[in-house]
Amino acid sequence: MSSFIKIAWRNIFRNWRRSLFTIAAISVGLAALIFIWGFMDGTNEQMIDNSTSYLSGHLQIHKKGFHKDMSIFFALDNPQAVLSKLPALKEIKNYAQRIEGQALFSAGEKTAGAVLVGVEPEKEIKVTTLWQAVKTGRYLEPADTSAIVIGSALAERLKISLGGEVAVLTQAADGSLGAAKYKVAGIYSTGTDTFDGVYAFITLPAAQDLYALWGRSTGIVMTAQNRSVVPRLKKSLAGELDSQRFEVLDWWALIPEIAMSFVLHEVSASIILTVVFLIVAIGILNTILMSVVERVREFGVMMALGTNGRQVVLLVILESILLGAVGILIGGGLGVLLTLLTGRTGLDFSRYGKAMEVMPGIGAVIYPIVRLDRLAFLAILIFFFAVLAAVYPAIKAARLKPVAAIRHMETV
Amino acid sequence: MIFLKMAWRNVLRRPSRTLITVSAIGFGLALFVFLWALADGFYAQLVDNSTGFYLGHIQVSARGFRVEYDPKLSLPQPERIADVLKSNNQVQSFSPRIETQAFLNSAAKSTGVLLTGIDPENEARVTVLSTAVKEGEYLGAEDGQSIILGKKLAEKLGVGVGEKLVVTVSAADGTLAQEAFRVKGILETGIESFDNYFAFVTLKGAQRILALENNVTSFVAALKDKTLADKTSQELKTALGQDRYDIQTWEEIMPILVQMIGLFNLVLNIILGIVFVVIAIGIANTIMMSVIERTREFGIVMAIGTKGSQVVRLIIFETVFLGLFGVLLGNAAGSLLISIFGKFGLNLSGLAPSLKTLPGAMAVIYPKIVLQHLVIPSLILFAVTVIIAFYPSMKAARLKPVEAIRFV
Repeated sequence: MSSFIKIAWRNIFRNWRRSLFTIAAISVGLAALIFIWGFMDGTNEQMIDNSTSYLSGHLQIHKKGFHKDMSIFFALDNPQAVLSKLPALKEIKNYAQRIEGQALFSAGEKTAGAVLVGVEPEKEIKVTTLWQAVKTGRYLEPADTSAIVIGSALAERLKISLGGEVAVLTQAADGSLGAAKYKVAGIYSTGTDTFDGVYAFITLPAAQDLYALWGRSTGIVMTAQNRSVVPRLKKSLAGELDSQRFEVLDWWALIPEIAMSFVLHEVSASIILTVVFLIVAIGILNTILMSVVERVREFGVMMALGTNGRQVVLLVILESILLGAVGILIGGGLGVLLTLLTGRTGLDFSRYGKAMEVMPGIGAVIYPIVRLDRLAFLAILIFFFAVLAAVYPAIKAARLKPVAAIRHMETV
Repeated sequence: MIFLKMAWRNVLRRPSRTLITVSAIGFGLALFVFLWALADGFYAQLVDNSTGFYLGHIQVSARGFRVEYDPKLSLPQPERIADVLKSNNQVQSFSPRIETQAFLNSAAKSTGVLLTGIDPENEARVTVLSTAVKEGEYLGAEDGQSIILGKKLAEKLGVGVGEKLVVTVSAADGTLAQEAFRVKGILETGIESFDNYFAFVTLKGAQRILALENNVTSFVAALKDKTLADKTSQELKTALGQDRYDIQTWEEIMPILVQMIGLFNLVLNIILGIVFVVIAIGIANTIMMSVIERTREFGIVMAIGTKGSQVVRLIIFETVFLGLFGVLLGNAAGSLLISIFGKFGLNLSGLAPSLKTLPGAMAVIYPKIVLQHLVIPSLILFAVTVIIAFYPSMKAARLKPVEAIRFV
C-alpha cells in the first residue's frame, strides 16, 4: 500500500503539467462555487439584518392576539412581570417596550392614517436603527412629551415640515377618544415607502397618555446576541410565558415578506449552484478521464511488469485522491480569499439604487460572506466527485491487455 | 488539404479522446445556455405579470391626468387617438378606459380604490384581466350595474359574489355621485397591490356615474413586441402631438421594474462570467492534455518530414472539428433542456412549499429561448476553444522528433 502511495505521488510530480491541469479544474471550480454561494449568502444576510434592525427586531412579545389586530385592547396588562424575566436570559442582547397603535394624523387640511409607535428612546436606539435614518431634525429624547418623529413620505402627504404641528386622533384603551398635538422634531427617510409612509414615533410616556395605558405597553421588542440563537431564545421565552396569555413572534412571523424573499433567494441560489456544480463536475470529470485515457501505454508497461489490475485501479484512485486534496486546498484558499476580499470592500451596486429600495433591506453595496458549513459542504462534495470520477477510467485501465496497450493498439 | 483529411481521421481514430473534448464543450455550453434561459424566462414572467393584468405596454391619457386621476381631464378627441393607434403597425390591440379614484362602501366597511371602467370585450384582447376572475364571472358588455374587484379588497369589505356595494366618486361635473353596484366577480392575481386596490366596472357604468357622456380618460395598448415600446411611443407622440397627451410606456410607468431586472441581470452576468471561465478552463484542460499526451505521435509525424507549422495546422484543424461538434451538441442538449423545462416549468414551490403564495404566479419558472443567448456563447466558446489549441500546438511544433518518440 505505502509503495503505491509513493508511486502515485511520484506520478503526480513526474507529469506535473497533467497534474496542474487536474488541480486547476478542481480548484477553479471550487473557488467559483464558494464565491457565488458567498455572494448570495451575503445578500441574504444583509437583507435580513437590515430589515430586522429597522423596526421589527429579532423577537417580540405581545399579549395573545395583538399581532393579528394591532388593537390597543390587546395591550400587556402587566409588562413589568414579563420584563423581570428577561435579564436572566443570556441570549437577549437588548430589549425595549413599545406601544403600537393605529391613528389618524392631520395637519392643516390633510389627513392620513398611520401607525403611531411609543418608544423608550434610550433603549430603542440599542434595539433598532431607525433613529439613524433621521435626515432632518433629531430623534426622540427621553424627556420629550410633545415631540414626534415621522417618515418623509408621511410628512409629504400631510404637507408638513420640521417644527410643524400634527394632530393625532385615536381610540384609547378606556374606550374614550384619545387626541393630542405634537411638534415634528425629526423626519426620517429609509428610502422604503413601507416605512417612510407608515410609522411615526413619540415617547412611551406620551403614548401612555394618549392611549390611556399608564404603566402599560403593547409589546416588548428585543434583539438576540446573534440571529442563529433566535429559535432557541424563542423556545425559552415560550417556556417562561403562559402561551394562553402571550404570543412570542420571531422576525420570520413579524416580517413575512422578508422571510418569503429569503426563501426565494435560497431556492434560486440552489438552482444556480446546482447548474454551476454540474459544469464544474463535467470539467473535473473530463480532465481526469483524459489523463487516464492518454496513459494507456504507461499502464500497459506496468502490467507487463507484473502489476495486476486491482493495483492499477488503486494507483489511479490514489493519484486522484492526492490531486483532489491539493485541488481542494488551493481552490478553498482561492475561494475564501476572493470572498473575503470582496467582502471587505463590498460590491457596489449603487447604479441600481431604485431597485435596491424595492428589494427591502438590501443596501447598495453587497458584502459576500464566507460560511464554514458551505465551505465544508462544497469541499467534501468536490473531493468525492473528483475521486469518483477516477473510478470508471481506472477500472477500464485495469482491463487492458498489456501487449496491445504498449503498442497503443488499444484504447480505454 | 491533406491536413484537413488527417485532422478528420485523427478525430475519428480516437473516439474516447474526441468524446471527452466534445462533451467538455457541449455539456458546459448546454448548462450555460440553460442557466441564461432560466433567467430570461424569469424576467419575461416578471414583466408579463406586471404589464399583463392591467398596465399594458403603452398608455395614452390627457396631459396631467395621472397625477390626481381627475375625471375632468378626460381625453380630448378619443376617436382620433383610436385612429392613430389602429394605424400603427406595432400596436396589436388597444382598449379605452376610464380610471378614477373612488370609495367603496359595504354594509360593514368602506375603503378607497382605483376604479376602472373597461370595455370588457376589447379589454380582453389587451390584458389578461379576465383570466384573474377566480369567483363569479367577468364583466359583460351590457353589465351597467356590475362590479368586479380584487380578492383582498372583497375580504376587507366583507362582500361576496352577488352582494351590493355603494360606489362614491367625484364626478366630472364637480358633484359627488353615489350608486349601488352588484359584485359579479372576484379577481385574484397574487399581486398584493392589485388584489388590494383595484375594482372594475363597464365603460358605460363608469361614464354614467362620472357624468362623462361618451368620453374616456385613457387608452391602453398591447404591442406585438414589447421591446419596441420606446420606438412606438415616439411614433405615437409624433402622430398625436405632445402638448395635450401623456404617452407612457410600461418602462416609464414602472421604472423600478426595469431597474430591478437590470440589477438581477448584473448579478446574473457576474455569475455567468464566472461560469464561463470555469467552462473555458475545463476545455483548456482537455485540449492541452490531449495534445501533450500525443508527444510520441507528433514526434513520428515530424520524423517522417512534417514541418512544425504543419503540425500546428493539423492540431488547429482537429480542434475546429471538435469545437464544431461540441457547439452543436451544446446547442442541441441546451435547447432540449430548455424546451423540456419550458413545457413543464421549473416549480420553485416544489423546492420550498412556502413559495406557493409568491406574488404574480412566479412560483413556476419557464425558461425561454432567446436566440442571441444561444448564438453569443456558442461563438465565444468556439473561438476560445480554437485559441486555446494554439498554445499546445506551438509547443508540439517545437518538439525534437527523436526525443519526442522516446517520450513515454
